Amino acid sequence: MIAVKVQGISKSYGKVQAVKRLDLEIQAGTVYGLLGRNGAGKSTTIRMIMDILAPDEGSIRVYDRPMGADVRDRIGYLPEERGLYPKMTLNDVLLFLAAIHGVPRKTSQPRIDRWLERMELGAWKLKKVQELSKGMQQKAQFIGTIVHDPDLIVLDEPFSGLDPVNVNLLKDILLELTRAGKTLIFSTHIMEQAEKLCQNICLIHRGEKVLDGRLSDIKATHGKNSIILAYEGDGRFLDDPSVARKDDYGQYVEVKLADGADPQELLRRAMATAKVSRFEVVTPSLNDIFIQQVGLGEAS
Amino acid sequence: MRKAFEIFRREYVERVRKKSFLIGTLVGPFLIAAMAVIPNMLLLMNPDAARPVAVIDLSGKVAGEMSPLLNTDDNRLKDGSPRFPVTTIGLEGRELAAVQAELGGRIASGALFGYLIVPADLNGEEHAKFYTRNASNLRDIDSLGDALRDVVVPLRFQAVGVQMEMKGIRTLTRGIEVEPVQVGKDGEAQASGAGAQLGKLAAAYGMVIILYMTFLMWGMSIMRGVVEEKSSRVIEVLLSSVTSRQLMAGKVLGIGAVALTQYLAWGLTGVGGYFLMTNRLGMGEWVSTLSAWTLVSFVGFFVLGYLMFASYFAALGACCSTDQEAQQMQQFGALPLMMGFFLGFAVFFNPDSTLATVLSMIPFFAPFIMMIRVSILAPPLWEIAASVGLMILAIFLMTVLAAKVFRVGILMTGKKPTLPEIIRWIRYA
Repeated sequence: MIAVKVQGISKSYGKVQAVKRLDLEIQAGTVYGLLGRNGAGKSTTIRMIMDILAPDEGSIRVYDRPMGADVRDRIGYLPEERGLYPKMTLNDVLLFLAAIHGVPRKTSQPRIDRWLERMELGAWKLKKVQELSKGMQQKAQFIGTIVHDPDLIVLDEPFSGLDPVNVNLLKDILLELTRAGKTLIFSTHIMEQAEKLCQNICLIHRGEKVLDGRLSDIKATHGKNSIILAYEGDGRFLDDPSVARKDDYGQYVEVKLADGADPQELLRRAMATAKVSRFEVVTPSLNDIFIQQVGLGEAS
Repeated sequence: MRKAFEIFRREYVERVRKKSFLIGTLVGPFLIAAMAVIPNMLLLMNPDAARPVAVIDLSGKVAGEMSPLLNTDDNRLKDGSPRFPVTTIGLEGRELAAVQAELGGRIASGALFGYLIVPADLNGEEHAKFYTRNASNLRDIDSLGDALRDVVVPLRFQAVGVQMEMKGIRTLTRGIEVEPVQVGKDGEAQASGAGAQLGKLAAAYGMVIILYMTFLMWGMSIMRGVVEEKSSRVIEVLLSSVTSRQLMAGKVLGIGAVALTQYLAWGLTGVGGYFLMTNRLGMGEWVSTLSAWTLVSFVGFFVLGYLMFASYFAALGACCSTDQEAQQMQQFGALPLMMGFFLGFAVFFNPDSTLATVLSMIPFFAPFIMMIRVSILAPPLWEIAASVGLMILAIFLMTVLAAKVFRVGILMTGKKPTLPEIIRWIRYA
């Protein structure tokens, strides 16, 4: 079953075209990553899927229906711009968010209690939102997104602003939700997160789709010509036509070989001038693919 | 519908729970009562102390008579001694300026309350002048004026050969009142009495002020609520589950219900006030002039006007993204309200004029102008129907427009939109 089908949507703000004729197809029950740099058009796309912005052209169907009240209640949405009523108590806000998604208070209260415990916010239940720290508010907002038990969960940069412990907590919960059959769409510009969670990705650059498909397929088509290399000594052996690109991560260098180049040849040259402590032929990381597609030269 | 109700419910519960609402509801009536009563009480308070007055009588005919006329029964201290002990000052060959300088010194030292200079020619244009530290004490000046009149007027009658006491002169020269009697649509004379007419005016005035305050205060409250949702970024979460129309309907009605709750509380206090007014203060005549028809119109115009201005202010709020912007926008927003309010005063005394009829058909002004007309003179039924009909039409258009501006404007942050941009939003949404 297709959860979300986007056909040829475009959106302009004045003269700036944020999204250009974008097509997406998101299967139910999968984790779908919407990747791209800041300002690539991820949030605009998500807002159009949520029917908060109207596309200039194109169509969007969620569960094979146009957006309407019945569909809305099946979606949980975490916007990029977080916000809760600062003067309401945490519990009241969550009851309210559940209620506007059609869940009566009697049903939602035990769920809220469970989630607050799970998110380590139980002690803050009756505090005003403005008394919570930013990280706590983030977690509270996430509870508000899923409290009505939606089938489709749309998260815009869900990990931003969380500390590593909470990132892990959220990641575990997201995995749990997908195992329970939920469909997950999330946007991020941090590739490691996408790599850990997503089965499918779509890479957007300047409002256009540059890559789309199963993550494993995408990696396969990019071939096994990446090398993780750690060494001590002179690194000039890397200045060679057989090396298409190198990304220095400090502890190691990720090297992308030119088409047809032989990894063994590189190893031989490396051993001649430096002390090699690690040499591994790998599939390229998503980060590597991302940079390759989007181009390092534009990073400025 | 259910979602709009949830928005309504949140709006209502959160606002009614606020401390400011509780305080406003409890203290409001007392504040209003205090505003009405305290200035009068202060005016009536008069310390129980003698106020010595000197009289320089240039005419030579007045000074001797002043004291008994000035110190009437009303102007006596608790122990029965006169409030205004009078001393007559003769010039005795001195310059007037020198005497004035000396008396001025006595005023400054507190020995003298003030001195009166009576002009030489009592029939001339020249005024009598009273020099005192407290020249704004109108009560005392009135007492002096009355006393002086009671001396001078019989003298004038004497001069033309009529020997008569002031009391007799008063009886002869008293005026004759004209009493207004309103004739209704059926040609029958209605409840009469100057008090009744005055009561109608006062009631109309009061009701227009209540309407104005309600529309302005609660309209701005809606605006601030919208801006708050925008600035706290709650709005995007809301719009992912409710439509902008549901959101606006819930907000407008929720805040309206808060206003009604407050008025209901005040109204109950007012019932107590009503009995006080009828029994103690003798203002029953005023209150009883409020016909059922006027009250029904008031409630009607209250609801219609509120709906119109509420959606108007909600749309304005959607155009702002910060509190500062909202404050600037408020002034702009209050403009049509203020115009209606002040035009209301223009038609107060001519509620039947063409101007009044035309103005009462303009939806933005109708709640005020038609309210005044209805409470003062009962205009033809078709005019009321037309005015209400036009308002309902305007409310419909206004909510449609407002929902559109709301829909687009509410996600816009940063730059304040220009008017052409807002018009584009309306076309686009």
